[in-house]
Amino acid sequence: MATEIYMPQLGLTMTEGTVTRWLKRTGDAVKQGEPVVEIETDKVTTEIEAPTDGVLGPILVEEGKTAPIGGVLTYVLATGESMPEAPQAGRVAATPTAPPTPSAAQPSAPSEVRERIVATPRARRKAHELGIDLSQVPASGPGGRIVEADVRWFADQRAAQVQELPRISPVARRLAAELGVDLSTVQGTGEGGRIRREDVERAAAARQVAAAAVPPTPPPATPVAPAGAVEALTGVRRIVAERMARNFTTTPHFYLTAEVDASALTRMRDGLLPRIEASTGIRLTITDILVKVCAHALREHPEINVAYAEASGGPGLVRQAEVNVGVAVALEDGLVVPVIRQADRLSLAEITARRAELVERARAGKLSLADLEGGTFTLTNLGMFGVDQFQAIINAPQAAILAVGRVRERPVAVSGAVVIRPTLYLTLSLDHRLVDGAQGARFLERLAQLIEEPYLLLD
Amino acid sequence: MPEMREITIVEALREALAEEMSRDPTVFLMGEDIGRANGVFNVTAGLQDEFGKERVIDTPISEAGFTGMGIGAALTGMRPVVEILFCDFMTLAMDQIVNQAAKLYYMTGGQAKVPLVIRTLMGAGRGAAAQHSQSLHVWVAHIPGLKVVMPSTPYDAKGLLKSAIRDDNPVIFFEDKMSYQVKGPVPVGEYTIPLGVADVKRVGTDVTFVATSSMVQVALAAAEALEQEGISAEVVDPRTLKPLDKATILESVKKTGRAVVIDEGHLSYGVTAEIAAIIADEAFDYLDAPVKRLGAMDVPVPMAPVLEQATVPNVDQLVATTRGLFGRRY
Repeated sequence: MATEIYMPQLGLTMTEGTVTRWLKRTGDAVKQGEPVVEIETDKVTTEIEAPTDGVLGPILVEEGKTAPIGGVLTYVLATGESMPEAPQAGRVAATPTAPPTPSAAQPSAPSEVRERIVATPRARRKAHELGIDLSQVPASGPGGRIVEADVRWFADQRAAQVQELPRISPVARRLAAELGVDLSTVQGTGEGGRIRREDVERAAAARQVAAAAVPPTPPPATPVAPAGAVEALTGVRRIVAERMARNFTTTPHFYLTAEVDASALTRMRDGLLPRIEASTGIRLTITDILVKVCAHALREHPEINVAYAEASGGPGLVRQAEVNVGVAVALEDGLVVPVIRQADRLSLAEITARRAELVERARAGKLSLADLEGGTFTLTNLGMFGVDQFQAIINAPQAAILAVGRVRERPVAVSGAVVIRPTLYLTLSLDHRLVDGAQGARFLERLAQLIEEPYLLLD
Repeated sequence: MPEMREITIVEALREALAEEMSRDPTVFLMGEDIGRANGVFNVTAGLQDEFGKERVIDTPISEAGFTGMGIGAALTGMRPVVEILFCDFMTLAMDQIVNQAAKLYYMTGGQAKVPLVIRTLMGAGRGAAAQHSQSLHVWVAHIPGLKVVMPSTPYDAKGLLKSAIRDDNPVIFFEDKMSYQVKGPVPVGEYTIPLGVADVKRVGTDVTFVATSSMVQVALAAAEALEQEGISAEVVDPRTLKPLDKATILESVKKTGRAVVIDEGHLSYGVTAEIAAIIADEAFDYLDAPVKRLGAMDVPVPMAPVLEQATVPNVDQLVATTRGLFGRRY
């Protein structure tokens, strides 16, 4: 019995996902729970595990292609079970080959018992009309049945793939490489917009004319980077890249910085650490206390605990009911922000335990979408990397992010004398659409106060 | 466009009877309490005053007797309209209906014909208990030689009853007791609706509801509810079970790819089974889901209103059944 591996629904807004990487190949043995394929949605990258032991069947969705929720990506076949017909069969037959010699023209092997395809009569009829092999069509109907809509979707995908094929003649491609013409700037005049040799030649000529018309300019101050192969960003890196660009360019940031005396904070950590370690087995960090501080201050300053939203006809704002503090966690190839939900209601020990669990899961790449959703404020701490102070990009649609540097002994003026105290720098980034300077300053002041006099957390 | 007005099914039926009696002197009515008492549900109100006791005849409680009299009169060239108050009482006249009315044209090689109409009542909903709430139309639809009509609107009721009276074959005309007060537009003046022509009561694209009699209203309400969920339902009312307009049903199902058949008769061996079988047989390659059926539960209709309602198909059931035909949506 072939068990389908299909595109899961990882969030309410998800409609389709992209296969980023196949971790196993057709014919590979897989164990239940073993990652088989990596998929990516607009929010998260995750691995799909084999639902059962067996052998991986044909890959129905290639890397870089998308599938709708429920679309079958591949099958896990029982050992010894025959595979559904390989999708390549048709393509091989279509390739012109030398005529078979009589000896090669053996009768084809008796067709293997084909995996039963459950499809409605209407879907079969449509597939027949469109010349589609149903074994490649993902099923969305009740009971895993292929329905007409699946066949239509598959046909659309197929049509889209055909359109994606580069419409450039081979000669034009070679010429463009020789002349250094960027094909993306060339208008094709061939059939269906195909770029032909003449188009490349015309583009090259036009470039010469343009170069001649412009007075010679001094060479640019910085040397042009050597032309190297562009490497596409994938996985978490790509998501981080897209989100940061969007957040930074669409959110009007402003920044507020304060130096805070960390004497009481460090004393508090030193005093509580053994107790919390005894009860949870986990070492209390400055970050954990800062999560508690932020949550406490956010509860008192609901004007900061808001999110930007498009209202009908203009900008809008959502006042968050919960205080959910995201904590930025660095990964090998990116950054994730798991969320400590309702942090204002958790004890320090609970925050510590939760933070440790989330960081461990993040490093193992096992965060679920639920771990990442719902944040209302973000805390990012680079103190452990020796950073004194930095400005962070807001995790939109949240209104603010707190960037924390290292605790370090610094000279401080106290009552006319210079003394040495442990201090740290807090830098708050705020969305100026939602929060003004004075509001942000009051919030920062309260954070500083809670850090310098942590017993205020008890009020 | 002829002038239209809103009237009830009761009024539409009364108009049909009066117009046909005025048009054709061979048309006359027989039944229990149809004259002096104006009919139990007022369908024949005033007709005895208008056409006299010889053409609107009050009979004793004797279904077998007056049904037989109707068949005899029809054989002699009259066009009797016999009323069997509840179709539950059709049991008493089944020999006359099945062995006489349905057979004589065939057994005489076409020398005799029986232009008889039997008007009768079907349907649950009045708390009238198991012996006054049945929907036995499938019994007669099973018999060759009988035509079976079941209108769902005032317009259809009037046009179909006039055609039934003019038909040279025995026609069993089922009226739903809960639908009598349903109002709808009916043109002023003469019109007829041919027997054997279905009506698309609502146009849709995703699923076909084939619904009969009062179930048409259930189907229309379910279609409205499903529209909110993005499911567009087409409602086909066959209007007559015999002859059955297969073409309209099949055309609709071929378009939508899904079908739910709804009828108030018992589910087992019922009207829904017949229509579902036709769809499965003749539109097989167009089906995108199994054909579903909704009918009355296979129990005698209970008297307690809550239980009674639970035994007949309702809007929620139809909505839930239809949802089940759709999987993960694109």
